[in-house]
Amino acid sequence: MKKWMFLGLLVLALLALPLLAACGGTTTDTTAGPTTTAAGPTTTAASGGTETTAAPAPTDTIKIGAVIWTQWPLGYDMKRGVDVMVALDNEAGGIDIGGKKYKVEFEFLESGNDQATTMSAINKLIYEDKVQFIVTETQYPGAVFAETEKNKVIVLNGTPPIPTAMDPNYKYTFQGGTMNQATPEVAGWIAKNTPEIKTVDLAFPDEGGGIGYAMGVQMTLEAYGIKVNPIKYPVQSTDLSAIGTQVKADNPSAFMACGNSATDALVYQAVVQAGYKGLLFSTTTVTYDTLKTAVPAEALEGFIGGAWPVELDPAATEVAKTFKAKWIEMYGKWEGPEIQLTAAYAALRAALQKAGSLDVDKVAEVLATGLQFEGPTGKGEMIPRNDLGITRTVDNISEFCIKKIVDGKPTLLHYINLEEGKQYLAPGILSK
Amino acid sequence: MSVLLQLAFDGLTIGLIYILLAAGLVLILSVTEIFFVAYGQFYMWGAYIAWYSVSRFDMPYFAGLVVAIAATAVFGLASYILIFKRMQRMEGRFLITVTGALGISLILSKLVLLVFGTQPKSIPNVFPGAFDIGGVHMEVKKLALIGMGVVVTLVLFYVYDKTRVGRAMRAVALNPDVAALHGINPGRVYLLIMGLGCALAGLAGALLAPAYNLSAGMGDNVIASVLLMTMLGGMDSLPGAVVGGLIVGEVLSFGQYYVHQMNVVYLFLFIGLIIYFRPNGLLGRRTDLGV
Repeated sequence: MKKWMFLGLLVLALLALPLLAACGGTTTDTTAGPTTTAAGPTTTAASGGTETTAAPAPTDTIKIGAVIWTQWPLGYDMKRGVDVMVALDNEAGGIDIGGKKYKVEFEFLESGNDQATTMSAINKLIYEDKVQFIVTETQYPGAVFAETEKNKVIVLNGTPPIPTAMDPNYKYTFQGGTMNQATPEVAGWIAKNTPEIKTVDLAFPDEGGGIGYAMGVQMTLEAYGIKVNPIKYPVQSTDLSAIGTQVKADNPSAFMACGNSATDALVYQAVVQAGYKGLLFSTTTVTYDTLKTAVPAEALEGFIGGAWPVELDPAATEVAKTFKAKWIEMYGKWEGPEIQLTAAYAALRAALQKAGSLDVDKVAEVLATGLQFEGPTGKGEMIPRNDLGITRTVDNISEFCIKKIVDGKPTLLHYINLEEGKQYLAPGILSK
Repeated sequence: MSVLLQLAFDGLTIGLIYILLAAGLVLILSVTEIFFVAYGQFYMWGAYIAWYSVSRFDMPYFAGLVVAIAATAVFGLASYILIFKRMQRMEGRFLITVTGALGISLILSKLVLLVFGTQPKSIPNVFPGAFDIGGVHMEVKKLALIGMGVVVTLVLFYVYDKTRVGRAMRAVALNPDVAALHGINPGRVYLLIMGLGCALAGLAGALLAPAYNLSAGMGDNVIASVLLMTMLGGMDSLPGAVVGGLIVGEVLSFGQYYVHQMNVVYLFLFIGLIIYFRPNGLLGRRTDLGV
């Protein structure tokens, strides 16, 4: 018995090692030489939004906290993507804030996708580590934002559309992920450039993100006079053949899926298998590689959908090219990761640079007044949500690629810049 | 009419995969009384191991299938020997084994991300082609799934009902102490059941891999449906697993078409009603898991 117990503990310890290395506890960036801790002149120790007057030193650090659920692919890739961006920043000597370079100390804590673990992590960052800037993708926005707002901690939330992040009373909370308005952008471009579309069957999972995406898409399509038939499905579905049967029976001019990548691929598979012959579009960034896991390549020829600059080969922007190269250097290969939530870090970095200060009130002010930023997901801009009664820029819009599958390869069909993207947003968002 | 037949066909396909999964879980639940919530992760690992064998080592699909079955069986045996064997003897073993299974589930689901990454995977379809009969569109791969599901289920029934090993399983499920008096070693039966049950999960995952795609969430996606099926059919009944699987498969297929996402709600209501009137499920005899 003792022998077996010993072996059992040994195996468990071995199994736990990679977990601890990858996600357990705190991960601190170490790619850029020595960094100071929170002691002494480190400016991150300041609380309550007061700016410290530490003497200039090349080793000053800024501590950026992250609470992420790495058990789901978007969270896992968000963490890895921010690690890449932090490494790039530190290799460049740090972030320039007010003429001084600050190395980034990225403190990651696992959220576990449960409220107790999430709040424990948030509290640790706020009260123990005195972190004033957090990127997250929390599933518990109410609890998290109440705590961060109370403590004047800036949070950029990468999660897909969450109305809670748009509370008009918040001052330090911002929507950091770029998916909020990206799906309507693509929907608007498709509607404008494909006049033959009169009806659309729109399938999406019955959960917050899917519903949020679909609402934006539906509003935009309907603004162009297109009739939308929404089809919800349970989020934990394995076989979606019934959706294919329905779409074939409805026979709309176009079909779109609007959920997470793996399930979207299964939805398109069901629709193709059912024999639907209409147009296939995607308003999300489901990659060609992912689609191919379920849909025959020949059925995907001509498929049009959204894409981040990094998906294309070569990447569509210089920033995306640099990011992709660093990713490959750090992780060995590029397998189409879902890095959209890294926009939260890109926005925070730009806000710090533009504010030229670590003062949270100044940084919040910059974020709330139309900040522009750039990351691997392209250029972004903070925008207001007048439709929700918020004139401060708490949400954001991003540049976006429109890809078309040609000869088994995603090719750039069109690049939506920020000004064009704004045209496709639902009425009432940018102005009353 | 063709729509109804199409929905019935699609429901049958996924129902049979669920039957394989439920059969393995029922064996584990009824014989070892371990509430094995990590079961969905074994299904996921079976799919990933088959994919890895085929894509990385250029193995034929069926060789990958065998590797997946063997590997998940070994995982199952190891988890019993290293974790559950001792837990089974503890007081309050139900909650302890659930906790152990949850731990395994977390580790396996995290490991799959670390080892295989976040992107979905697929195995090239080994059963290409499709044809229409009476307006029903039938993919050959789905017919193959149905065929293999039926064969494996029949073999399982034969082993459980007609062989000495199966009799030993049933005897231990009924009363391990009395079975021991008759010369059956319950420890070995538990071990066998864990290996067999987990192998069935791996088989189901590997069978499904060429027909759908693989993602890190696939284990979580099925476990709720499979638990519902076992409750519906009876937690200690193999025929119950078959009935439960067929009902759940068809309800999900027809439900998605007619009531969309509400199909799960109706399924819960239906199963709740059945359990209200038949607490042991449609074909179950007892549900004493030592809680």
